[in-house]
Amino acid sequence: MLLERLTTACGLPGFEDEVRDIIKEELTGFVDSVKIDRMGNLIVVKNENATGKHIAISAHMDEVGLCVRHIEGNGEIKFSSWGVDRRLLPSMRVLVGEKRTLGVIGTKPIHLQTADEANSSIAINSLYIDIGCDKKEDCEKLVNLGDFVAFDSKYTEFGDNRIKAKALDDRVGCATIIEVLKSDIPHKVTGIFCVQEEIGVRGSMVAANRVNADLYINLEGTIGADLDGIKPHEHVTTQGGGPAISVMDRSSLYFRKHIDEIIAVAEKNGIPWQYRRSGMGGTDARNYHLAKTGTPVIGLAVPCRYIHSPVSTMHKSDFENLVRLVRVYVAEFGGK
Amino acid sequence: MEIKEILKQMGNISHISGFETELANFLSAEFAKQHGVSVSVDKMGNFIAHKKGFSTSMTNTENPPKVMLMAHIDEIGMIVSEVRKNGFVKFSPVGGIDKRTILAQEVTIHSRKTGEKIFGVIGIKPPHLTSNSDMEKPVKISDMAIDTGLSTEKAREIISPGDLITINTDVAELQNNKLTGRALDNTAGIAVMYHTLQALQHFSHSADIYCVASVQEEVTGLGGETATYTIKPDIAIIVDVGFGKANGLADHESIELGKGGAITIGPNTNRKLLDELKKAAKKHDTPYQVEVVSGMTGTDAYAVQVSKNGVITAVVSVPLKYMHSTVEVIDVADVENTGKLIANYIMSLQNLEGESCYWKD
Repeated sequence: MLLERLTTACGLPGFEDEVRDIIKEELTGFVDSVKIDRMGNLIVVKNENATGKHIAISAHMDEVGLCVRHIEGNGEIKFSSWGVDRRLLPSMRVLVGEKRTLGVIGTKPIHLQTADEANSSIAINSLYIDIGCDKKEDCEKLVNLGDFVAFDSKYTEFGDNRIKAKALDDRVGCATIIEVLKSDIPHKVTGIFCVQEEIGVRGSMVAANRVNADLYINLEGTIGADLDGIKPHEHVTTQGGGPAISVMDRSSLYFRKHIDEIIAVAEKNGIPWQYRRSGMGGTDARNYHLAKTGTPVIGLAVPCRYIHSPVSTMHKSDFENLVRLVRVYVAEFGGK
Repeated sequence: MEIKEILKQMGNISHISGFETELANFLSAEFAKQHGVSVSVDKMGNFIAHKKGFSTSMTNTENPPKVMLMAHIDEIGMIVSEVRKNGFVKFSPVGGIDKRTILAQEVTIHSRKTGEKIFGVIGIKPPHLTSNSDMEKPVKISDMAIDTGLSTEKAREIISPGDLITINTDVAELQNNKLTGRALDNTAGIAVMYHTLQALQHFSHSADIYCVASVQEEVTGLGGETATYTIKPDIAIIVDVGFGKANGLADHESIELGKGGAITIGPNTNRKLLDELKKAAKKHDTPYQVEVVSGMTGTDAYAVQVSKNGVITAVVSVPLKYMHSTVEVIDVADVENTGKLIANYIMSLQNLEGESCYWKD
């Protein structure tokens, strides 16, 4: 399955190659042009010569994880983190570098902890990865400085129509674009698969200067905080409630006109939808808003619980409804 | 079976304290495959493998020494305390679970009602609801919940308080013959007993050997206590795991991976027996290390030593890093060398006459 393939691939910021290769392969025969820019963004165009309103759909290929920073004399691998809550790192299994060497993040046993240690979270610079090598030279045969470190988490379907995987943020966006571009659309549509969103929306800065679209749809996996013990007004999104439509976040205010358009299209086609009920976070939408002299952007997302962790989860129906919603919106507003 | 393989297979079986039956059944099947070994499970659930000694002209055929090896069979885990709305499940620890190590882990809930195995994840609040001061502290277990992704009705239909929960990690290979996984404390100890019997297969020994996989060590220690009372051994060798040297552990509180089993020195163990173990190791060039424990060893040995008329007791530990986490690490060579060490000792043992510290009832 597409989402399984995409989430199994590793694409840490700056190492998006595996994900990009899968997307290219999936779209072969469904688009007219495929380009990779200097940053590594993958830009594909369907119906290149069609006239009228040109819509671009964007998602990012990168995922959060860790990066090898230093190897100690005793083979311990020190790392830095790209946006991971440090409290979930102890006892995590990870895959180091392109060879995907299995490693573990071990900590001091509970029996030997002082009361202070037991009640403090461990700083990232005190943690390390153990791959079973107790000499630096031994470790260096498998691990290089700067190697990416990905969560070791398998795609799993569970519960009521749910999926657990790493990197649902934003492989679910990538999968949506692929599904939309595979369908029969008469209009010119560009698909943008960005690099380096997680470290400061870097890839889209460049993509926004190249793709000359009239409107962008930015797709994300977003926070789903509909959890036990959290009040409804703090949920942000609800799993199974349909695609979440953004009104604002830290870097964008979305155009009301287009929010109303997409809601109308959802209602007309009986597609469930919800607002993304938070002003937190920031996405590639920022850069598309700034494209040329300013371009409208619609922000849509699939609710993901435990985002940025090895066990992010989503509801399959939210993904299916996002694909439907983007398809009908492009069919109705593209080309005009 | 290869030691690595039996460790991997045991890692796929849930065996939380009080609920060790499935692993006991697995051990019954595997140990019985060894020549001359008979197996049983006692009232408490302890697994017992018995191999009779061979009589020779040197040995006391009437009354052979009885040697009991004991490794606890149970693992730490969790238990369902409440099934809340929207498929969220609250839980309590069974044994010494470290709250710092279980966030964002995948679990299996074992439904007693339907026998189903339910997948879930231990969730974590998103960043926008996490303050800087929250980040400084580990999340309390009482504030955690398992997300099963099930509806309220479905979850309550399948899951009930009292259902057991294991964390989903298989036993996997690291570099240099090391394994990582959950519950290597104490499947490593069981694998040592298994290897001891393997090593003894082609050699004669006068001692009657009992291998006990004792229940409930992580919570009550009652399994080891009752099995010893039944077997009445002369000599007991407790096989458990010891703190493997890793970052943050001082040399005096840890033993090193790759250097063989650690023989514990201290009042909970018998000095004469320790000397004999060391002698056997040296004779056969088997690596070993020593560990000093000045009080109770934190193993079944504490109850075993004072069972009935007293038991001549030793503790041998397999070095294990990151104890009580889901990423415990051992070196397979340590398991094999510990098994060899015990086998060599048993082969050296003829009779217990005339040794005051080896007084036979």
